[in-house]
Amino acid sequence: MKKMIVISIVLVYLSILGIAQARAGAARDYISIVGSSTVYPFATVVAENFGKKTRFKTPKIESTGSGGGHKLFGSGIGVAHPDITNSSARITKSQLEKDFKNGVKEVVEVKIGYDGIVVANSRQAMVFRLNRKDLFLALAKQVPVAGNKGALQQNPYKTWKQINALLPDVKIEVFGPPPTSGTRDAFVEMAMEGGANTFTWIATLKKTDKKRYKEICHTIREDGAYIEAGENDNLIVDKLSKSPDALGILGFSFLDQNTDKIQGSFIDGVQPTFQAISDGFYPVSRPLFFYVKKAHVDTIPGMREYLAEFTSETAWGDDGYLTTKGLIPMPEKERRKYKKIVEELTPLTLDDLN
Amino acid sequence: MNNLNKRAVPGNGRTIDIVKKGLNKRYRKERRFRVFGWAAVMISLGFLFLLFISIISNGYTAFQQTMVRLDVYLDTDVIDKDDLAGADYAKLIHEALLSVYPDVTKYNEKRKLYELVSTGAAYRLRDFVAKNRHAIGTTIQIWVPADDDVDMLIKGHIDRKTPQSRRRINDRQLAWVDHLISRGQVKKVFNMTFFTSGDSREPELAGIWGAVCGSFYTLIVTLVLSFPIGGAAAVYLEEFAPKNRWTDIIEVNINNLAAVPSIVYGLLGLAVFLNFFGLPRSVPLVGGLVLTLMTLPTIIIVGRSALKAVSPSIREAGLSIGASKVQLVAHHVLPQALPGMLTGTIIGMAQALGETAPLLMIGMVAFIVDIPAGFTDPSTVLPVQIYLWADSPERAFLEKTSAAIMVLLLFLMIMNATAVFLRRIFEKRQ
Amino acid sequence: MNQEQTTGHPHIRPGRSPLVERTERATVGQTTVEDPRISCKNVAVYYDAKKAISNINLDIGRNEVIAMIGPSGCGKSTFLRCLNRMNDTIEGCTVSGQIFMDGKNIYDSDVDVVPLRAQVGMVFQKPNPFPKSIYDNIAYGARIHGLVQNRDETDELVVGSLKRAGLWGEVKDRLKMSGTSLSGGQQQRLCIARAIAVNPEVILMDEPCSSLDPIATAIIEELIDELKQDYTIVIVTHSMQQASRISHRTAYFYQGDLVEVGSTDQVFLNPLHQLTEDYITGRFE
Ligand SMILES: Nc1ncnc2c1ncn2[C@@H]1O[C@H](COP(=O)(O)OP(=O)(O)O)[C@@H](O)[C@H]1O
Ligand SMILES: [Mg+2]
Repeated sequence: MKKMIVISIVLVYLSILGIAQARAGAARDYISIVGSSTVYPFATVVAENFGKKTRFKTPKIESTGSGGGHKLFGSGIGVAHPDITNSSARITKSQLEKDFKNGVKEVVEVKIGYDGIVVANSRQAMVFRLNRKDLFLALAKQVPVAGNKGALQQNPYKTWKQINALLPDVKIEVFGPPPTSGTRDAFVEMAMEGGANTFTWIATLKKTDKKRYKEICHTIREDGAYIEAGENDNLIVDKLSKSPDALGILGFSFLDQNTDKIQGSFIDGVQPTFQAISDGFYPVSRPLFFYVKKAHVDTIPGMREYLAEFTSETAWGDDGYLTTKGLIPMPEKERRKYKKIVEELTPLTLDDLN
Repeated sequence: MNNLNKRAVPGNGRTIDIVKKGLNKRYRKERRFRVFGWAAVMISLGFLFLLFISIISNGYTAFQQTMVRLDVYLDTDVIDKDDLAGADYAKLIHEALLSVYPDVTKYNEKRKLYELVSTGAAYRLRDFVAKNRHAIGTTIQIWVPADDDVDMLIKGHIDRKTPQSRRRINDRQLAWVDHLISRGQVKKVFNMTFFTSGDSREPELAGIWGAVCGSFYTLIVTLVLSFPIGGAAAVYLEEFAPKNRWTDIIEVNINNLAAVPSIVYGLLGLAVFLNFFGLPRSVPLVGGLVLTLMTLPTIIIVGRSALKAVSPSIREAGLSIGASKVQLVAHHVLPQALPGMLTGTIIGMAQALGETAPLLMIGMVAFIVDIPAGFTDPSTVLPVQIYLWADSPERAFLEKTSAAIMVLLLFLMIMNATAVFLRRIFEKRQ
Repeated sequence: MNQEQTTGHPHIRPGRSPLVERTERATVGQTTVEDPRISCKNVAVYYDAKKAISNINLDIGRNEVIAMIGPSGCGKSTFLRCLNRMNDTIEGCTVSGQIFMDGKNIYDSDVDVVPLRAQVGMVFQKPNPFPKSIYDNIAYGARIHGLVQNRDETDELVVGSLKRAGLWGEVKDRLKMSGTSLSGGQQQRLCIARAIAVNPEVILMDEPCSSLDPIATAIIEELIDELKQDYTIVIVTHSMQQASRISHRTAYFYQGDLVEVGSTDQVFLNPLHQLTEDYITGRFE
């Protein structure tokens, strides 16, 4: 009994020592990366390869989402703050301004490739041939009243055929990500806005009443036709293979990994393939980025080497290992441009973002 | 005194007859109750059983791994004896594959061929060469892990009958694999990698050892802090604290804390340990501190009820013989309450072992490959590893997820068995 | 204490002087003794606002066995627990009045209960040995009070106490066994051995035989008979036979009042108070 008390006191003491030691040894010998869950699968592969190939420790990568990642990244300079943040959207002007204010003066932007967002369904059903307009009409909470400019109504459509006579006569049922997800943001921006823009009066709203425009395009119906399936795209794949009439919205890499179960719908006549996304024909695709804190490049061991690994042809090239993970590579010219930026560590300016 | 003729029970007839009449109804009620109880137990057992079946049937294949034997020529042109690490081992692996299928010449076909073995094969070869420098310049036989898609095929998770376009393995690759099998160059072995490696993005290279170590360090910190602190708090509050408004407020708050969603502790940890004390992100030390906050209320509450359960007659015995308050607590009450307190601690630990939400905020939900070697190395924990794998697109991570769940369940079972075991020992000692 | 023959007493004499009325609650009989070991003055105990006993004046002599009798709930245990301040451990219990031991009021604020309880041992209604070995049960008190310095002294004390409690023959081969593994009667004797192992001057016993069978009771009674050579014993009992067998004096409590005190023979043969007579003749309203 007495012994136990003594031992636990000693252990408490030791762990306090441990805290002290941790505070004293404030240097960090591994790269700390945060950010987008979309870039996470790619960054992790690079990190792993980097860790195996070099004498440096494998970088630590947290999947915090683009926004959360940027907040951590831009909170300051020093080992307590991450060195790199991954992002599935380009940094905004206000984000960069905030970085500057917090002392993060030099941020290097690296585009790594593209990600497609696909609308898929089970292999057991027919391939869908959709337009963005169909997607907008099927999923928006409020849709334009036919022949009545400026008027909106609660989304009345129950089947795809009601929207577009060429589509099958099946119930509208779409599994997709929740609003917290980057995939959802990208989907509403590219697919829903694209579809809404086919109504000229909505397209003009974009300039005159941006708030209303966003409300129309970004608000997804809540009557059960759109089913939030959680952040985990594997779940959506699973659900699609069990309900052949349903569609699902997910990242391209999940389609790529599950071609035996699901197929990607045509959107505006283009099917989501590597080639089509890379060439920019597929309309619902977005560029992926990461941002580097220049001040950390020479203080955290391995930063230059990690950047070199990421921008090597073996990684992000046309046949690089990132493509096997579903990243859609940039055209060679763009790759050369960003490789140069990385080599010279050219920081981003506010003007670049116009 | 009592008039024997006057009946205490109203009505006519002998008591025995009345009792007998009601007996059937009474027994029927009891039987019904037993059936309900039995059904309830069976239903919960059934669900547990289903859970186990689904996890085990999904996951047991993860304990095996498909290996491919290659005859690799350790080309002196590729390996520089003075710079072993700098050699292009992937190239040697590719050459070895090409030497089996010299007819593969087109670039795309070559790629498909290379994809049969894991990218980890090159690192295996590197490690082999580092240990066997004398073999450089000769041809060696080496078993390397197959790619996860091949592994899935061998394990029957890929249906050969589906058309090629929908398969992750095309017909050509299928033929190669079959050919390799017929030459005895493919075998399934026990998946040591799964138990000895850290995380990886390649399913065939991924293991849980890193997460197990992370969980271990985290729980050590939690245990070392929460048991003494929780125990001392429980003893003080139950045995020594005056009973007044302040202690009532403290008690209510501790009970409230036990019901607070665990993510709140993560936020608290972020604010206090990371932002205020400046401790590093993603380390077991901070994870342990956060989980300590989370488990303390449980330990205090269970500890107090264990102390409360100590028979008052033992307290009277101790006091009447002249033991002081501290002696009474230390010599008689604590030894009696200890098994209960330990059980509470272990239950708290088991809770902490399964927790991910609070760790999210302090950065322990992360991709970490290197095995943590201490309390301040970045690390993740078992449930986080499960969550991360469940979220990965590669099909082969599915079985890894289930296998990791099995490992987690095993640890939980061991901990709970320890609780039962400890209680037995203590009970026997008395 | 001139003890008379207590066995085979005849029936209560008819035609004796009239008894004290039932409504009268002042103590009847001689409450004081010469050179008392313990002297209680005006003791009253409240549980929260509820009165348990009040206005108790009673001396307890040296080397005497005094029995407390009375219907259940009348406050016997409460009074007994005043004598070693065990009431302190009960929340909401307040004690007023004075209890003198060696000329000192044990309820004075500067009195430490630890030495007091070493001096006034207690045996409870339900045997409550520690869940430790028989050996440790006996040795515990002596150890914490520093009465033994080494293993040999402890051994000697344990053996001696067990022998005095008449338990040695039954447990000498199993001193390592848990005290709780003994039978009820053995456990109670173990508790007595534990109490006498710290060599107290007064032993309080609260219905020590109430959960025991007649044979075990007889053994304990014999033991008390032995112990009265050396100790002052205050015993609560609900068995009038037991009281008359073992005690010198008897105190009768009724509804929180000490109604009558006197030599055991006098109380049983010649009660002065109507209430006492009611009780010993088994007459209740
Ligand atoms: N711990 C307690 N709290 C409140 N009331 C008590 C407590 N102990 C005893 N009492 C009350 O005090 C009175 C005397 O009790 P007690 O001394 O135990 O009687 P006895 O031992 O003569 O049977 C009873 O009315 C009983 O209900
Ligand atoms: Mg009593």
